[in-house]
Amino acid sequence: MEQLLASFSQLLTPVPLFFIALGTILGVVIGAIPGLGPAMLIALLLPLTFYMDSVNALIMLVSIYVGGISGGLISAALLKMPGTPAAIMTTMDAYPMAMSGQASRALSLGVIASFVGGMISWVFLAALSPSLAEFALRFGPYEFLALVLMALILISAVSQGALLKGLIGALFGFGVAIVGPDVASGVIRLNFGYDELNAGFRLLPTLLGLFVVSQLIEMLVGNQKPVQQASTTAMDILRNTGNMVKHWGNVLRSSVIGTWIGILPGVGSAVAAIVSYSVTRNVSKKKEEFGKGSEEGIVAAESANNAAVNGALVPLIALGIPGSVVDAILIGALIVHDLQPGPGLFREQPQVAYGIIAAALIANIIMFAFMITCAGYIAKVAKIPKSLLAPAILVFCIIGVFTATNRFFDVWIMLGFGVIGYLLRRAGVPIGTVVLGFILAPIAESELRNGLMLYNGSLWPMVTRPIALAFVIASVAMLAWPLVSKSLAARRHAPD
Amino acid sequence: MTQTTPVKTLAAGIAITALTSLGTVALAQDAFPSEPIQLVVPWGPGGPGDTYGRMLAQAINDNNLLPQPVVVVNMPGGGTTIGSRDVRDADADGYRLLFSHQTLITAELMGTSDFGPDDFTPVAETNNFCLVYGTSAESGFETMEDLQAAAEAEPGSLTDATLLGSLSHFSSAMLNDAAGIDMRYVNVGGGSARTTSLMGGHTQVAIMSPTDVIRSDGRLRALVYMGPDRHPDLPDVPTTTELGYGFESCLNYWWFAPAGTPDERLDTIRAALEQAVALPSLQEAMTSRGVTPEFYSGEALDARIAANATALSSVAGALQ
Repeated sequence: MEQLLASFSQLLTPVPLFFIALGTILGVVIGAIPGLGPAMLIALLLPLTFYMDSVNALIMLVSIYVGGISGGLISAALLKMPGTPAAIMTTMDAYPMAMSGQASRALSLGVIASFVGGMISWVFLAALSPSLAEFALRFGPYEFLALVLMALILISAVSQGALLKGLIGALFGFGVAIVGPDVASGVIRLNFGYDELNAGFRLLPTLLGLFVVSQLIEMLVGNQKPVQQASTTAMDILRNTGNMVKHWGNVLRSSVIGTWIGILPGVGSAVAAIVSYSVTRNVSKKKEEFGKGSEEGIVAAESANNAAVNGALVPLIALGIPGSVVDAILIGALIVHDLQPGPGLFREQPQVAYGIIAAALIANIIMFAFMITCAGYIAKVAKIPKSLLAPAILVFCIIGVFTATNRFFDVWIMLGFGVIGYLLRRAGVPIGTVVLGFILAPIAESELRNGLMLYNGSLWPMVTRPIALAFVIASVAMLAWPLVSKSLAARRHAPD
Repeated sequence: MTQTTPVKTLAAGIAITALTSLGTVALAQDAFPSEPIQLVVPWGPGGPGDTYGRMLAQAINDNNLLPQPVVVVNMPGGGTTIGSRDVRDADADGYRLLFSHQTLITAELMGTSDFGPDDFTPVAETNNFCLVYGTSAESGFETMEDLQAAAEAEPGSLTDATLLGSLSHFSSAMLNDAAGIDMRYVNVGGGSARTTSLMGGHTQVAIMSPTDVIRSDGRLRALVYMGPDRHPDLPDVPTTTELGYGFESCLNYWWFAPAGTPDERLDTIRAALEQAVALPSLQEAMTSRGVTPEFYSGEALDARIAANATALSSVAGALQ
């Protein structure tokens, strides 16, 4: 507790506060631009943080996450385009409401729901993660291995309803990660005779290629539809805040749902919004309004997707297992700053672990103030032609990758993965699963091999150790998820 | 009949250019370094090795110990072989140097690289710290005798959290040899993963840095210190020498240049490093991180590297 307070007093000084505000504001703006999202921005800024103090770097990246998930609301309401996948459910109701001349009401509900969702889930984040980290000392190699397998099945199962494509993506990520030094012996494998591949496919070029460059290609190849725009001002948004009071029950329920879905490894805000939206519609007295401008729908989606941000930070900080795709990239950020993700983080680097938690709260407050005052302007930025954005982003990618390792070879790797990522997107393979597979593969492999070393070559402890067994059972159960997912999808399409 | 033809003009031009450039080469040799010196750090930014390299570079730059700055270039990966290979293949002109430690020896012994310290010209040692062998405070092992008794009672039952092929792995092997115990190795990874594994009771012993133990709030216990004399912050922990093990194990941070780099250039760098290591600010910064700043060069340095190579290769066969 005192360490958390110490982190607050450390962060509430000009320099950290500047990085939190910068991250939040950049996040909101990027989140509002359809096609760009917090995952992309974090990957893009990662090389720039190399020479920053690691606490400042991490709090800035986490603030981008908080802002980015929130910013999606703006384009959802004003442009009928979800700025991020997490805002897809918001678009269903926020845009119809905005089109009926009540854009300010939609934004006001969404911003406040985001804020409250963030605050409620933050309490869980602050309360759960330190104790979970202590509990996780009991996790041996097989517990982590079982948890990672569960994460992979979970992310594949819920990735846009396509279990098979999700698994293909995750396995591709696994394959990419296997190149390079063997995790147990350091022997170089699968380098195809190229010394340049002795370190494997590095995190940054792979990540930027798959995530950012592929998106740029898609942006430039795809055609852009002209959009009808609703407008709003800060005063209008403030005037509408009173609407919120009657939704307190919904906010509470959706925030808790969002938090817990966030905590599940591998899945984040987008899934949280879908689930809480469905639940809220099921219990609503005005089911018919959903999809036509329902206040309840906006509140449910926005409180849950923001709550999931903090929820997903819990396994990241406590276990070193990503709670969502963005968290997988944040794990990469910890690694490049030579911080070992895992239960040791609270003990070895308390200023980083508690700094992330404190920053999540401060960023949430800054997000609220910024969204209330600037939503109207951000919507204008969101309409910048992609043909202007894409080249600038590409230049950033190239400089970032080159400065990270001082090798042009890695730039080619990045561009190659950009093309592969684009083809995978075209084939309907969710890129998020590829990235998670890439990040989780080395964890899974080293835990498996450590387990084999620890238990004299036996796999039995996977099912005889209770915690590992629980994860194994959950994984098997999750393979049945597509059926549930299908029925959810059927309901989701009903209002259209 | 002297007529200036284009060919003659060209020839004269080439001659003049050649002469002047020869002149600049000679001048550059007089005034080494005439451009920034790149220090290749074979780790990513932010880690301990990178931090020490940057401290030394900054000490040189801030105090103008060289007329040109030392610039740190991170080339991580491949168990440090990417960065070391780069410097091995660089021009032997003193402008590209390597900052590394025993990993250069162990990588060759383990077969992850096909070169070692002999393929470089050693420049200097600037800092070092010695390792401890320890356990969790809850393990029930108070001393090495306790551990030996347990290991003898049930051979192969105890596990050592290590990073296979690293200096820790070698140090554990030397200790096991000397103490006559049998441990199973688990490839847990680096510092934090190791201490977490010990605290969780998944493994029983590990090689650690003294600061890991000192900053663990009493949750970890050192059984033996591998330095020449007792560690000031761990006064109750015996050294390997006291226990009669006959070896020491420390991480020594060494500067290397490509083989064949002219000695007069390296002497310039050595002089700057010796001054940098003596700076009170650097001494304070390193000591506060549990690292000892110490300068060695010449025969003393060669002897230290050779001693390490001999000691490490004596156990290498058992590790593969």
